[in-house]
Amino acid sequence: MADDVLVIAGEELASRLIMGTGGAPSLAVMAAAIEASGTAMCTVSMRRVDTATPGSVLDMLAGCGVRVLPNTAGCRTAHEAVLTAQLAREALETDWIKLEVVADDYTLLPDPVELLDAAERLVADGFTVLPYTNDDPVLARRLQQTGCAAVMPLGAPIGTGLGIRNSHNIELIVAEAEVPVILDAGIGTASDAALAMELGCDAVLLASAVTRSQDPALMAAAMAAGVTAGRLAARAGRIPRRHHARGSSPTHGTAVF
Amino acid sequence: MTLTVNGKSMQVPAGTTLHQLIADLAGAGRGTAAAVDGVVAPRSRWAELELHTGQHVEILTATQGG
Repeated sequence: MADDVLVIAGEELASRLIMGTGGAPSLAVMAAAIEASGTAMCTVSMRRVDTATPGSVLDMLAGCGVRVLPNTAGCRTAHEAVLTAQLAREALETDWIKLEVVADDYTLLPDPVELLDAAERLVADGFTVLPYTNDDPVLARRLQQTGCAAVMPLGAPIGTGLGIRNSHNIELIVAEAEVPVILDAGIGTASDAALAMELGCDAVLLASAVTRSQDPALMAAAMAAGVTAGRLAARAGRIPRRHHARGSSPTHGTAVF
Repeated sequence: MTLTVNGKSMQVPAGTTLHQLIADLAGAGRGTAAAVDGVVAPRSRWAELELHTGQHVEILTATQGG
């Protein structure tokens, strides 16, 4: 396990579980979940300064010792996403960006045209781009060709907890990926995270499945175990599926009564 | 003079710099960034960047998010 480290853009991350910080009822609950998850990187969003907001998510994350990955959540156009990424780089002194460009409020699905445009501009501007994308192998390929450092296909729309709706497409994306594939969005429970890893993903990014669960710290531990189990199974190589039964006990020497 | 700061109209003294505005509103701590009329203003320029009436300023920081 120790030699099986996630590497993104040449940098090692000690966990294959990346946590979003949205949806938690408080910073203290979020911190406990982060601790239980063992994650090495958490996402944050860029929003207008609000002096009424208690505490600082950045202080909390620094206390947890995790890397901060800003996102462009809420952006609808490449223009908005590029500007938000540039502001995040100024604010957080990182050129890593989780690129999100969604099309509408009720699906929150990525807008592929704007996404690809934003990815090209950000790569050209020196960003390490981790795009949240549809489970579309062709779009994932195009994003890689622009120079993205990872591709992050959705399992299902953000916050739905519907799991992985098109596991075949995820496998296709994994099969030709030359950068890490991070399953992002749609995870509902630990078996979904395990499945993502079994399909060959390099990591899982999730938020709501933990932060909106009944016990976020407990669910975070479950997700960590799911990711680990799935990764081990993927490396071990599962048996092929068979149509008919095949016993594991020897047939030779069976008694005849 | 009148500025629009994070979507709200605001009166500030003439000659106010971006650094002064941010210090008043957000403490100018780590984790803050600003755009003036849709253009990112690098932190290194905040102290010298004088604002002008009618400008739109967005001041952002990190918050909990997926």
